[in-house]
Amino acid sequence: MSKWRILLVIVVVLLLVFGHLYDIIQDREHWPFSKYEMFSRAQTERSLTRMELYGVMQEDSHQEFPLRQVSRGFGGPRETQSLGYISHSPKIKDKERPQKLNDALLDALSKYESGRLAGQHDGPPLQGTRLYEVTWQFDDPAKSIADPPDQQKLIYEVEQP
Amino acid sequence: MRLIGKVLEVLRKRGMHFWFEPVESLNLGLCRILFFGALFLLYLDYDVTRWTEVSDSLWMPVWIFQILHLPILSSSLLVVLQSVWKISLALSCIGLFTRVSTVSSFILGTYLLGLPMNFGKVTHAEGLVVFVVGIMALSRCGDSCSIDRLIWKARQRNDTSRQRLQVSGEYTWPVRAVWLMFALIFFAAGVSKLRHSGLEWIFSDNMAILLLKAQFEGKSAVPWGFFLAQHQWLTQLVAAAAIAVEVGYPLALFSRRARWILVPGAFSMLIGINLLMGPNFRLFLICNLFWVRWDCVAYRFGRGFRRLLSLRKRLLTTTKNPSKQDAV
Repeated sequence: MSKWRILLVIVVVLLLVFGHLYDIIQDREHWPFSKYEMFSRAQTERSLTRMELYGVMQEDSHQEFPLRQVSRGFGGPRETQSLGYISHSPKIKDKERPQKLNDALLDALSKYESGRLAGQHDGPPLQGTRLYEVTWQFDDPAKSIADPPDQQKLIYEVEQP
Repeated sequence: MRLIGKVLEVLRKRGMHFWFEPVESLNLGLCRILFFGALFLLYLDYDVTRWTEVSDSLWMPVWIFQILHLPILSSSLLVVLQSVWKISLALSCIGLFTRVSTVSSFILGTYLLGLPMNFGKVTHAEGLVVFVVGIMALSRCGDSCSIDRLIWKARQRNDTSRQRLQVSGEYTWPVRAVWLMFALIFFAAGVSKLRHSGLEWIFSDNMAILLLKAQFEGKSAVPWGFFLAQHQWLTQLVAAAAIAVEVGYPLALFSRRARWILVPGAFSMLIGINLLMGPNFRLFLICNLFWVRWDCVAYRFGRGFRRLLSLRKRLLTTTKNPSKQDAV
């Protein structure tokens, strides 16, 4: 191996090491470098809290239901965590937050409606969408995510433009 | 001073041996085939065009997209890039235009795999893939088991001296660099848990609650969460083992014994997390192939295969020639 190749490899290796160490020490994220904090916060409460998108039906009753119940395209970890990030992250300025939430909910609404019109699910037409922070208590082993949550806090809502 | 000098010299020699020990190119070539082949199959249906439909205000670029001013491209352009990327992965696997195909796999892969990270949620497995593809792009992974090599051999037909098998440190450092990535990732994960939660992460209901949550959300593949959560000692033991494997993982770089425990331990842990808690670590599992000495596997398999062939040959000759069979 030539000296230049060895030097190049050493530089690359040092870059990998220091890039990661920087993120570990600073507790920051510079994708593709990372601090890998998955599951790092100890759970103390026997409950589940997550963000949940609800659809509001166009019919007179304006009943609401979780979108994941009618379409598998909703309720995934990327969606719930992104919505959690937009709702709570201190990295997003308070004055920008409503705009981002508005756009996220309108996006969800349009995704739902285009899926409905394309026949991908048989959910009812919607008047709007709501974002809730929902909580289930683990007090009954028979309970599951299909049951209504124990607490529900409205974060934002939009209506069909 | 002389002692320090000697220690530094020993460390330098050991470091050079670790990174640049001369080996044959076969192992790296086989790693290339398996790694890029698995990526190609995994990402065959990968489609990032749906991200073009997401509202602009939700675009929250990660560091690398920010400093390189990388935008979200139009849907039609993304379709072209995706196709080129997938072709690059396939070419990298078979080893055709290896340098170009691995470099384009790296550049396009960084963009295409990084794109979904710009909408509020960052996942980590793709980061590892970007690093590993980058390492392969910089390496001479096309020197063995590749079409490039066959073409080169055909061109050098008359020059037998140049066709001899070569050993070089070029085939060691890429594998070791992937090992290093694993060590950094698991170590970071362990440190992060201890930093944010301390020993509470082990000696509390933490693991039991994590298992319950996963089962409640229907993420777990096996319904053992409720059962395990009832036995506090068991969940705490699992948590302690997880931290020990993660924090101790860098030892796998230096100790062969530690490697035999930590690498399968972490591999099993990822499968366990997948089964009990849902997150999918397919990319991490694929990258684990760099821990296997595929050249040894190939030699053993080859020896077995050769034995089978000779046995078959012997059987065929004996059935064709009964007099010989009697003699046997």
